[in-house]
Amino acid sequence: MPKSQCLLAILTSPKLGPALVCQWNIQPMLNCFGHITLLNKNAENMQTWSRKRHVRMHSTKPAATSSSTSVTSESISDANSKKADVGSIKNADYVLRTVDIDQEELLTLHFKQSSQLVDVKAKHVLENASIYMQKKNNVYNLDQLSCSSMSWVPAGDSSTTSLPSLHLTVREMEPDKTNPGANIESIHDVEWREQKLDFRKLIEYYKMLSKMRLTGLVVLTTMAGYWIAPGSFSASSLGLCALGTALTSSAANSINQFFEVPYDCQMNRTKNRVLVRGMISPLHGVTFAAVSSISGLATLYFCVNPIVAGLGAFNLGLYTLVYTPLKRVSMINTWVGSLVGAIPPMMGWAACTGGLEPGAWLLAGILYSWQFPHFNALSWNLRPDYSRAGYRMMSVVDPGLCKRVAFRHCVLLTAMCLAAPPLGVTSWMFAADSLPLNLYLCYLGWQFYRKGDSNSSRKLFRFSLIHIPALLLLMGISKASLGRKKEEKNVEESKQSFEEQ
Amino acid sequence: MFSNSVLLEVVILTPRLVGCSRTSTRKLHCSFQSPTPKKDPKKLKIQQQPPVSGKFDLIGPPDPISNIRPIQFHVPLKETATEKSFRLRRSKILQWNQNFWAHHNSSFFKEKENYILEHQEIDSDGKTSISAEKLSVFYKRFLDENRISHLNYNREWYKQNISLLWPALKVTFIRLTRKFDRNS
Repeated sequence: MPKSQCLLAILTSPKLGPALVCQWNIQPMLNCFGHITLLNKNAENMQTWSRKRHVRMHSTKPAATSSSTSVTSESISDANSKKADVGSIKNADYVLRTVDIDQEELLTLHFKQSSQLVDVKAKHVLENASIYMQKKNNVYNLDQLSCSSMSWVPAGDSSTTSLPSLHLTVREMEPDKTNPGANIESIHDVEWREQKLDFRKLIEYYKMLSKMRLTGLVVLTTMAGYWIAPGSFSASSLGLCALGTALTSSAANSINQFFEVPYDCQMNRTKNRVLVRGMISPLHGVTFAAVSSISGLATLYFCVNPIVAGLGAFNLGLYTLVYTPLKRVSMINTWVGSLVGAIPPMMGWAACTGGLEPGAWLLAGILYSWQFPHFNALSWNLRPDYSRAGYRMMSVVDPGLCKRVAFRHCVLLTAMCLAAPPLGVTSWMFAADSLPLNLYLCYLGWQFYRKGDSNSSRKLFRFSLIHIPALLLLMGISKASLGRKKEEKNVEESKQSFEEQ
Repeated sequence: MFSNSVLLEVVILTPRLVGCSRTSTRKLHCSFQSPTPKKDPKKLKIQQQPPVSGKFDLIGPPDPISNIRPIQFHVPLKETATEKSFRLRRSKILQWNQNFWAHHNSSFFKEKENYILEHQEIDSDGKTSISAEKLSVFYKRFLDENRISHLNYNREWYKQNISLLWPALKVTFIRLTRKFDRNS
C-alpha cells in the first residue's frame, strides 16, 4: 500500500519570488478542506481542486501511467487510514518525478494575501510536507519541530524588490541505504544502456573482472614468499612466477563473479561489478577465466616448477569450487577462505627453493592467521548486507565467535613471528622489530573483542592492511639466508686467501 | 488581487518505502534523449519505458526492491530457433531472479521494520533508537530462517547459470557468421 501521493507546488508570486516551494500531500489537504481553490492562469478563472478532479487529472495525463492512476485511487480509499501510518513513514524515502504540464494546465494557486502563506504552519496541513530550496537544491522534510520553528523574517521596507525570507529548522531523515536499488549514487544507476561490448574499455573491464587490487595483494604475498625463501634469486623466475600467479588469481576472481551475479546485485560493495552491470557477457567472463587460468598454470608449470603449478591449481579449485559455494552453506567458509589466502606465499617459496621447507609453512601460517582479524573486522560492518543477501558469514551467524577468533589469531600471529628465528627462517632481529607491529594488532584485536562496534572494527581492518606488507618487508630484510650467505662468502674468501698463501 | 497570485507547478512525488510490501510495479526508468529544439534543453526527460534500441539488448537500472537489473531483449529480424530459445530462457531466468529477490528483500525490510518497532528504545528526547547488538540478533534470525530457501535458490541458480553457457556460445557463433555474411 502506498503511503501517500504528494504534490509538489512551486509557489511564485511577485512578492515572494520563486524562492519558496512547498510540497503537500494533497490527500490530507483534501481531507481538511474538502477542496482547494485554484486559479487557472490562462483562463483567469477560479477552479476547484476537488478529490474528483484530483483523480481525473492523474488519469488524463499521458505521463501518469495506469500504475500511478491506480495508486491515486488507492490512496483515496486509504486516505482515512493514512493518519495511522504517519508514524511509520519516517523510514520512507522519496523519489522525484517530473510530469510535463501543458500550457492550459499551468495552474495558479490563489491566496488573498501573500502573508497567508504563514498558514502553512498549521499542523494539519503540514503533515507529510516538505520544503524545497531552489538555491540550495535541497528538499527539507517538515515535521513538528520544523513546523514550529518556521518563522517569517520581515523585510526592512515594503518595496517589492526585497523579499521576505524564512527561518527553518529541519530534522533530516536517514534513508536505509543498504539496498543498492534504493541507493542511487550516480546517473548510471538510473539509465538504460545498450548491451554492446566497448572494445576501447576492454582492458579496464578485464582489470575489474580480475579484481585488480585483490590480485595485486596475492601477487605481493607470492613475491614476498619468493624473497624470504633461502634459494638463489633470479629476476626472470620471480617475474614468471608473479605473472603466473596473477593470471591464476584473475581466473579465480572471474569465475567467482560469474557465479555470484545475483548476489553481487544485492550489496552496495559489489553492485558495480562488470557482470552485474552487463558490461560484458557471462560467456565472455568465463572465456577470459579459461584463457587466463590455462595460460597462468602453464606458465607456472613449464617456466617455474610443477609444485608451484600444483599449488596454483589447487588454490584455484579451492576458491572457485569450494569457498564460493560454501559462503552460502556454512560458517566454516572463513576458515577455507583463509586457507586460500595462505597458499600464495607458499607458491613463491616453492618457486625459489623448489620445495616446501618449514619456512614455507610458517609463512603460510602467518598469512592464514592474518586473514581472521582482517576479514572478520571487514565483515562486521556488512552484517545487514550479508543477512539479506544470504551469506552465512561468521559475523552474522555467530558475532561472539567472530570477535573471539579475530583476537585469538592476532595472538597466534604474534607467536608465529616469534617462532621464525628458532625455525631458521629469519634472524632474531625480526622477532624484535615485528613485535611492536604485532602487539599493536593484538591491541586493536582486543579493542574489537571488547567493544565490538563499527569504529573498533574499522580500525582493526585498516591497520591489517598496513600490517601485512610491513611484516613481510621486515621478514625479508632480516631473513636468515642473508646472514648465512655472508658467512659462506667469508669462508670462501678465507679459503681462497689460505690457498693463495 | 491578481498581483498576489501564486503560480503552481505540479510535480508528482512518489514516496517509496524502502522495502516493505510495495510491489515493484511502479518502477522508474530514466533515459536521456536529445531534447527537441522547442523544449527547454536543460530538462531531464524521464520515461516509464526503456528507449528503443535497433541492434542490442538493453540493460536497465536495478529494481528498487530486488536490485536485479531488467533487460529489454532485442529480437533480430531473422531470429533462428536457437537464438529464440536462448532469449526466452534468459528472460525466464531473469524473471525468476526478479521474483525471488523482490519477495526475499521485501520480507527482509518488513520483518526488520517490525523488529525495530518491537525492540526500539525511546530516550529522553523522544528519539527512538535500537542498538547494533539487538539488530544483529535479527540479522542472524533472518539468515537462519531463510537458509533452506537460499540453498534451493543457490542450487537452481548454479544449474541455470552454467547451462546457459553452451547456448550462449552457439548464439555467439550464429551472430558472428551473420555479421560476416553481411560484410562479405
